[in-house]
Amino acid sequence: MKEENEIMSTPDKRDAADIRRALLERKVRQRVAEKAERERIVPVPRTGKMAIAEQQRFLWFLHQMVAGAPVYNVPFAMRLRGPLDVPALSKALRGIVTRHESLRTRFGDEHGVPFQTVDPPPETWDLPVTDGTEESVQDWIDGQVREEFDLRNHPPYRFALLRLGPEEHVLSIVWHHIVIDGWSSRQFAEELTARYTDPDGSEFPELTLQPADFAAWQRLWLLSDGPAKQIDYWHSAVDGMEPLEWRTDRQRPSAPTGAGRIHETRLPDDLARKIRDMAQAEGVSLLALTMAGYQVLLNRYTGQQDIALGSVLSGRTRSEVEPMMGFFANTVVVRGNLEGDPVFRDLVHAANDNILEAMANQDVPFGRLVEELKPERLPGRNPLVAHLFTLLPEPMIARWRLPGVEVEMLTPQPETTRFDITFQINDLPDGGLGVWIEYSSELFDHERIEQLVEHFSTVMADALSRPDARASSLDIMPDSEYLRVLTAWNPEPGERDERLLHELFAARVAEAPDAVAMRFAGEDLTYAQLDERSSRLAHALVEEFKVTPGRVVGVLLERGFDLPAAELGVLKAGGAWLPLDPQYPAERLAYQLGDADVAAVVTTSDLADRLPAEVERILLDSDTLDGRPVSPPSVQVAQEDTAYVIYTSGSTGTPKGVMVPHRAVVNFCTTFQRMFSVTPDDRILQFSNPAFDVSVSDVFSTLTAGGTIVGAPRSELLDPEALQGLLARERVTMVDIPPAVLGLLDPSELDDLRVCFIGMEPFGPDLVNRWSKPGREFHNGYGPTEVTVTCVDYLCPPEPLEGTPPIGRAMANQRAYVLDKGLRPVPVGVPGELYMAGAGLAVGYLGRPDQTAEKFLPDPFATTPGERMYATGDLVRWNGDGNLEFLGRVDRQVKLRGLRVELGEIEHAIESFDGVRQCVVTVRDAGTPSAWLAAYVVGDVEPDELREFLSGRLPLHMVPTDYVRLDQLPLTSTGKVDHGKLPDPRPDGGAGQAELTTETQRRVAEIWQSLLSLDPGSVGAQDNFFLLGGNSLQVTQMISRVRDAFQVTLDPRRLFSYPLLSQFAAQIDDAQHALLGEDEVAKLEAQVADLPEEEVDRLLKESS
Amino acid sequence: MEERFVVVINHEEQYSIWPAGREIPAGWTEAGTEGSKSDCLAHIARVWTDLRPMSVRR
Repeated sequence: MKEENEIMSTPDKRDAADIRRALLERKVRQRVAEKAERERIVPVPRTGKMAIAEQQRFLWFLHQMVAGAPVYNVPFAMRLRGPLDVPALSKALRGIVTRHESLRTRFGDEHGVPFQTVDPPPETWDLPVTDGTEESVQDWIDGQVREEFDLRNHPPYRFALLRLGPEEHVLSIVWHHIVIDGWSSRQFAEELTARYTDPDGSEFPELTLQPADFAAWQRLWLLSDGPAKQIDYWHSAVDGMEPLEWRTDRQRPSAPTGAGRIHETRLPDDLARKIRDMAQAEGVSLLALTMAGYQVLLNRYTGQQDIALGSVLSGRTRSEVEPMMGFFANTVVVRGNLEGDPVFRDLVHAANDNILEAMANQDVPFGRLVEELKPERLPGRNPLVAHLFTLLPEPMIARWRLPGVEVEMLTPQPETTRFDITFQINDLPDGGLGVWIEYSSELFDHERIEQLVEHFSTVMADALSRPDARASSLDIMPDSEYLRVLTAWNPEPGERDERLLHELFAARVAEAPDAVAMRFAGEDLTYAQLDERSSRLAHALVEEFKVTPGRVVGVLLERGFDLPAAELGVLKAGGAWLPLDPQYPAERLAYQLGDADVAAVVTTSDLADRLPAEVERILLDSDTLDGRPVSPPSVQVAQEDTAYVIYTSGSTGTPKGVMVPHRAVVNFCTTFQRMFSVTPDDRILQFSNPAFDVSVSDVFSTLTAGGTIVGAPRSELLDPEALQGLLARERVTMVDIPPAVLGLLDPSELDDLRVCFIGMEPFGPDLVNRWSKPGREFHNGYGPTEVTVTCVDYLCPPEPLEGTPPIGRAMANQRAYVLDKGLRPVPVGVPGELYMAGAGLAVGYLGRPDQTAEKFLPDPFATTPGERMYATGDLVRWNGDGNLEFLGRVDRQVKLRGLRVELGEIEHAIESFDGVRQCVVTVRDAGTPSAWLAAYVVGDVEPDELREFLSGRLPLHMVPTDYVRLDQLPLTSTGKVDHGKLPDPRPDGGAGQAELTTETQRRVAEIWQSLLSLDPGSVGAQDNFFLLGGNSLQVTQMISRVRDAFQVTLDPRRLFSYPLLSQFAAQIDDAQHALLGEDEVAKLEAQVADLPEEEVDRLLKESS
Repeated sequence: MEERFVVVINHEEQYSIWPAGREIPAGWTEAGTEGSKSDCLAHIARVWTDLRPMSVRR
């Protein structure tokens, strides 16, 4: 008011100001109008070859990548009951095609650049009508959608009618997604309805703008400074984004076919109502609310906190495109951040904000975004996001109606998929919420998808009932599934034998004193002899070394009768034995002896010099045991007292002594006896190193069952021929040996062998199929020392196996849990850490309360209060049958350029290759952008064949680049692979491998350099197209340039399988040879071979 | 933010750790220390001097 008064008071000034202001306003109006005019979509001339929209360009590329599979066909099928006016329907469809250029568009490309041409409206067109039967309906609609479109030469639609009777028809409408999106399908349906009754379509004026005009506009827009702001937004929005790594049911094929399935269902109506209510109350979109629930679910499935999903937006951000029928929809990335365990309500609002931001920046086409962001390309995987969560709003759901005719929608099964999973919520007009899922059937089982919907419903219901709960506390599994994985798939608690380990032995001595307890080097040791000798030792230990329960006694002995005698002697004295490998370096022995504070070491005079001077010893080859009593000393031992201590090397490097109580080893031995029905007639091989706990099984499972241990010197066991002879000669009935050793033996002459209890390392199906037979059980056993030899077991079925056997279920009185990082059970199929509880648990780590407390946690699922569970550090998952599958070590998961890689999974794949005995895979230059994988392989294999084999089984980023053949893997003294001693796979720095050696390689290098704007000479033979920055859209351009340069057309997918320059060049050479034929190539080779050297030089100079 | 734990103990006087704020499993009670994982483990290293279950300590 004050300002106005001032102006009023000075009339002259006021006039001048008004004029100035009016002028300014006019200029602003003009500028805005000019700008709007420039930005307006305007008709462009219909020349022959016109630009296509970016969305279409990306789809055109994908269409070629999945050549042959109708992945991008969009089908609608409906049953029409009642009097149908076929000519009117036909005319209506023709009217739509006439009005909308998109349905008259063909596509092509030149030098890798796609274009479109628009054909004139059809002068005549009749809806094809075929006669059919009720039974043929599904096949017919499926056939309509599964037929590929030839986008270069034919229209991108297929309309057809199946006549079942005079008043019974099925209409099929299929088009290619490159011309029409979801929004347009609604328009199509509405226009069809109107034109059916008004064939002239008078309410549909001719369109002034068509998709080709949009494409031309978009091209200019993309060249303007308009997109920069949006691209900046996306750069920051996807910065540091982790690809979603949901473990699939099956290995991702390196060349996916796009095979898929559709699963359709509805959420329960009351849940749908509550979802709508909460969305309304919170003022958020349905998409945001449901996506937040889905983020929680995927967080549990993957363990990832960064949940990046694709979502499809309509792309109608300008009013001009609204009447157009075309493909404007765009995929955007929406990230959810579960870090810090947010409460659900906050997660919902964050999702809502992110979706709003994405909408504001949706004009940059997804394909352009991919080019800008250059994410790592993985064969068979959509770039950036392979997993979509989207919402089909009610106004976009096509309503198909024909007056006078009853329309019932049918579901065609295209059997294809565009993404790994598209989870779509349909906002149904009746108020319900539909779920429509298209998923890759190459990756997922149908049960997995049903489970996904069940988990989604569960988490939504829980979240709605307590929106202020933290994400980690929400339930994703229904109660029935909790029961299944925690209880039903674990054994029911059974009776436990409450005796001590040596009491079980004593009972066998009493039953059959003269039975043979052990065979070694052709000699027998009876139960009575073993009993007497161990009792004498026990007296010596108690009397001279004051051994009491809890004290540790070292056992440093070569294989032979003394070993079981010493172990039993220590037990009878009340102590715990600590096996020491005579091959250990002296310092390692000294460390263990000091760490365990041993009372004494039982040894022989030839080994005694390995012990530190201050350590007490008892020499079994002296007269020290003579004259001592032959019945055991009287000592008070309880089942919770430690029976043995075995050192394992942890990831921290320092070996830890695992204290295993009588309770655990007795439970193991009695379980073993029951599982294998061990009798005194059984002869069991003692193969394992006595310092490992498998030897406890060999010795004590036998002695507590009255059987015979078959032992041999180390040299005999490690010589496959000698071992084979030993097994045959001693008629061994049971073995527990490493898979690699079993693989070297011949099963044909070992008729007495009735049990193969194989474990320690994973193995492939071949081993089982070779050894398993009627009358011989093959078991896959699993167990860390902390849970006493073996705690999980799988009996392989009699029929041949096709894949690596699972490790099975918990053995008697034990429980297996698969838990996520928050210690919650994970659903079937989801990887988690294996925790073990029950009778097999060790007491802890000797002298290490902190490490014990860290690994032995309270068991929240125990029925007896106060129990513990042991964190194994192994990654497993439940399969649908309730068997555990071993996936690797939790700590062997590495990151390779942001992607999670399970080294164990790669090793599994390598081990399934013929001729591979053992292998280990490591990451080199870890943590750098040039990180790569090296495989160390023991066995008779050609690296190239192995690489080829692996690229057919593993995602490309998991195929090791370098292969080193070794005679054996370097091992630590506990028998684990010594990573520090693995040789450098590229001792010369790899320089030699980068050199371009052939003419083809040099020319390909030039193409790559120009395409990827790299410096000349910067590309080597071992460079990877994608790692150099090549993206999917450049693949087609590259293929096109290769065609110009070499006159061969390669399938673009080949580049994904052969991404290294040398590999790709070899593909070109092969293709050229194939083009000419063997004979002609041979002729040429002969000609060249006959040329004199100077002639060769001259010709080469000429051609270059 | 670093995850917090509490030190817990059972009837056998075995120590362990449990995520803070989560319901403590039956048969276990809080032993009075809360902190980072390493703080809790360091505390346990000081106070848990005999790893044997109480029933077999003599």
